Amino acid sequence: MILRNLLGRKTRTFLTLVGIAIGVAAIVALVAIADGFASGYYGLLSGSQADLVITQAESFDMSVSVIDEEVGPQLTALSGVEEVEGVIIGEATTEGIPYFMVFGYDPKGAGIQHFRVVEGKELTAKREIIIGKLAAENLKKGVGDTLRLYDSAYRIVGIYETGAFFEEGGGVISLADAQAMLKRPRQVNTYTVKLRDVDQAEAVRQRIERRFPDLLVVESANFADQQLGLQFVRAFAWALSFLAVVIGGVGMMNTTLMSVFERTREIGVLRALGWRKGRVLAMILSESLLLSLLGGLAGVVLGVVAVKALGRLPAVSGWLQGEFSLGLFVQAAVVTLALGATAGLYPAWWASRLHPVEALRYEGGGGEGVSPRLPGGMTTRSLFRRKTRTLLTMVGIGIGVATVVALVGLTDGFIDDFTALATGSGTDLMAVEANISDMAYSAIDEKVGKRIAGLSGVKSVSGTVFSVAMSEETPFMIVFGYHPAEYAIRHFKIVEGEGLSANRQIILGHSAAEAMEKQVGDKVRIFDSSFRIVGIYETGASYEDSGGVISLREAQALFGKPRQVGFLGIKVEDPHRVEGVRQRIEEEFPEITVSLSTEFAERLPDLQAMEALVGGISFLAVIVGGVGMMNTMVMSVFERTREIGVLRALGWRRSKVLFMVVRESLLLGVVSGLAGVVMGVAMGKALTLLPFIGGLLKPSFRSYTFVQALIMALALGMIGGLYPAWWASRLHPIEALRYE
Amino acid sequence: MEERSVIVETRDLVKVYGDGPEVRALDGANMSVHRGELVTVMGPSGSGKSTLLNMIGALDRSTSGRVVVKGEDLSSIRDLDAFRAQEVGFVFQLHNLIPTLTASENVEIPMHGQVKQRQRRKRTQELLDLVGLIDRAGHLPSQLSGGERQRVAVARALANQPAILLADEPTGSLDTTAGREIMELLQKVNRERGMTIIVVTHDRKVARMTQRILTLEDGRIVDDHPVQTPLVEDLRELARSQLGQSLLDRRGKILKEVGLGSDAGLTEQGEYLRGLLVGLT
Ligand SMILES: Nc1ncnc2c1ncn2[C@@H]1O[C@H](COP(=O)(O)OP(=O)(O)O)[C@@H](O)[C@H]1O
Ligand SMILES: [Mg+2]
Repeated sequence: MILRNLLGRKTRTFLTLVGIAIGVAAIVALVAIADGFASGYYGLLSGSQADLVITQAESFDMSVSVIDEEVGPQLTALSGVEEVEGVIIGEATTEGIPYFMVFGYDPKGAGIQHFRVVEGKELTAKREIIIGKLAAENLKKGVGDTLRLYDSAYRIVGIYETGAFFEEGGGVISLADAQAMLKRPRQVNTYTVKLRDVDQAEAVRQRIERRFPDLLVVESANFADQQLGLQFVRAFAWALSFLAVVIGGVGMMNTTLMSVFERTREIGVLRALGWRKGRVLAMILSESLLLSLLGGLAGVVLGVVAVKALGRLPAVSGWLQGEFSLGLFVQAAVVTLALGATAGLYPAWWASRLHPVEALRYEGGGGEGVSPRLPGGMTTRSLFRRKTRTLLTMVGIGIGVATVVALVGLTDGFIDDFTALATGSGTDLMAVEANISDMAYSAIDEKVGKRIAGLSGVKSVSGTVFSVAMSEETPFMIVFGYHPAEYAIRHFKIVEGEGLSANRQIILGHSAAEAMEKQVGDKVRIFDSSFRIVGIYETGASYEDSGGVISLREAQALFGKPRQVGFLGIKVEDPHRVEGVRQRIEEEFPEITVSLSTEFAERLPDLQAMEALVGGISFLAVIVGGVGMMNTMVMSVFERTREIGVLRALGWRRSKVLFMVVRESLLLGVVSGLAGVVMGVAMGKALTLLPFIGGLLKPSFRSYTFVQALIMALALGMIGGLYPAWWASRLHPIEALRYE
Repeated sequence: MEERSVIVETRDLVKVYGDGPEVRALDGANMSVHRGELVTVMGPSGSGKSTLLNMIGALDRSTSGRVVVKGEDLSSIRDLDAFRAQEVGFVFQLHNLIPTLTASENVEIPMHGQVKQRQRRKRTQELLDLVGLIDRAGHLPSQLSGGERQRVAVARALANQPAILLADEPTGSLDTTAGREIMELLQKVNRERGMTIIVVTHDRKVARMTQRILTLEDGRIVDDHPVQTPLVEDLRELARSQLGQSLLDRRGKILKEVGLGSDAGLTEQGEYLRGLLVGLT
């Protein structure tokens, strides 16, 4: 009976399955990718047989961790330590692969041993590279070929296997080459430590951390879990999946509810025949569970296929590899069943509470509660006919649109902020390192700044470094390094205290000061150094206002960028000729990218990545929302089959019926879209109330965001309405009239 | 009876349904209806009544044979939608109003794209007045009684001043009184407007309120006669019934038994039955 009930409405059941499947597939795929990331990280260091892994404390991710090479010998000298090796891990842009993992190892060290060369020879000299099997496939390169990383050419001398796909998707060069290429002279990202006695691990760990408070020591088995960046990826994967599941769940509840409504009389008959309430409840619930189970199953398959397909793309295969653990499937199953249960519970409860006599008298078809005074005629009234269904559809689509609106708002907020940051000091041009994947990696030699300052047409140049500080006191804070005497620091308008004048001083943004409850005269610890707060400033850019500024020299030392800056702010003599100057600088210094300060933010790789992400989420929301929309419209058209027959008999053309349905669908889309916009704006504002992070978020809602959201809603209406409309218009009038 | 022009004619009309087991819903139906006539098509369930009506109303194309309406062969008309909108008015069983539209909006449906906005209002008022529902114009179907709903449907069928009005079991879901009222309304429309009306029903009382009865059996017209006095119709009905048939079969025996064989001793009862049997034959 349960199965037959589901089969009775094939299209609806199918669409519901698709909706759930996409939601579950999103979970499976995203979490698998996040787990794959984790095991990739884990594989990186476990392969080298290290017992402990050391990174810079408070660094967001291993790739931005910086440790001075002087630390190495001191670590070796500690008791219990047998061997210590510094490793560089970074990314490079190479032919067709934007994020090519590059490892810098000492060719004579122990760590490189776990790269088992299966073709060619081992790494011995500078300017040589050995690449992983996967990388060889993706790059279509073999031993003897040349590979360009940024601007340098490396000769491929060997192909290796390690079993860890992060490694097999990348390449290994000598530590010295890596330090030069990634601009980390005399620095490493991490130290791996081999112990004399593994049982001593905890003791040695504590000893190192006591001796070097700015280092984080983790047993290599736990390494991946300690990576903040990874936790971010995981949280994001779950958030996104949650979104897909909620939208899918709303669609699911819609289906179950409709199937219960239209069987009201049937339920009345069953009750009249002596079925108990509990039995009706169980029947509806089982239907819902069965449906979600099938959807979940399809979702798991879809998710696995999606990840496998993604993993085949050469551009990402080096680091995107799903890992499917039993736990993941259990999670998917739990989510699926929870979905079925929650979506089924209300309809089941409703059905079980039906009074048999009333249920038998139920006429269905609706229309009773529709007021003829509603504006918009037939279209609006049709939607009002099934208020619950319309409402649920609106909620589902609204959530999707809201998420997109909120995210676009946040992205635009970032752009505004960075633009304010870039233009605040009266800067005309901003330069960052070329070909970087993330602003945090940007490193420009200070000499470049000096040389630019010497160019004709350039008035002054000012360099800045920044980094994210994380500690218990400041969960997320951007620290900027500015030269205390250069013009650029002037846009940090001091509202309390005074400006920077000496070392070990910091000025704090007013939001940061508020969040940390600090005042002028207090001290803060950042990167394990103590700074005295001498002033509080306000700039209007939330990044700056929730951060702090220290002197450039100190920042360079602290962030491991000696004599390097992250950005250069450039002022020109004649603002009318700014474009000419920009081109000249880029021609002369190919290693940097120069943008007008007003366009700087939009061209930042981080924001482009974020926009791509928002695009991805929007796409997911459109698909899941479109499926839900279609489901609703299919139901709404099916139940009006006879009416459509009447309209056709009265001489309405196919096209008129088609437009009638499309109009309804578009209206539903637009109304949901508007609800979504309101929800999205509220969501964006609510996020700013979060402690610390909230201070950095300053959503900016532009009119085009709303236009975009509306277009998205219309697209949803179109996607959802077209098939049902086509179906309705093709109905044969006689058959429609005979439809029961 | 004066000779009037033929407005609907079917010739050897065949309609076969289905890809699997074929159903010959119509199997060579021949009939004609004159302008201004109010006729009934009767027949048992499944005999093809609705199919016949749908063919005449251009809802579907025939398998073979011809349907001619107002001198035009339907198979030569390309735009059947427009034809239906302009020339045909339909009334179906209950539940054929659009539930989200008010009475007057329902009446306006066929006028979309046919009649100008301003005229629509006026005509709708007129029609609702005709069916006696002018004060119910703003009500939704769910706020109307079954009889009232069918009146709205009649008004709607007349919206574009069609050539013919087709009613498929218009009283099917109504109680006797309401059904009678609908038939009276159709009579009035027929009388006052000269509207040609074809009613499908299996209710003899309904059929007797029209002028002519066509009987359909297994997709063929097997009988076609004008409606006569109630007594004649009663006898006709009796003759078609099982009891009537068996009475007719045993006619000689009955006559003998009541003493009609010989003229002697004719009772009052006997006189009555003789009349009855004469009437039956
Ligand atoms: N669209 C259809 N498809 C298949 N069979 C049909 C269809 N319409 C009618 N029939 C069949 O044709 C026969 C006549 O149907 P119909 O004209 O509706 O009869 P009536 O109205 O006299 O009850 C029936 O046997 C019916 O099952
Ligand atoms: Mg019928």
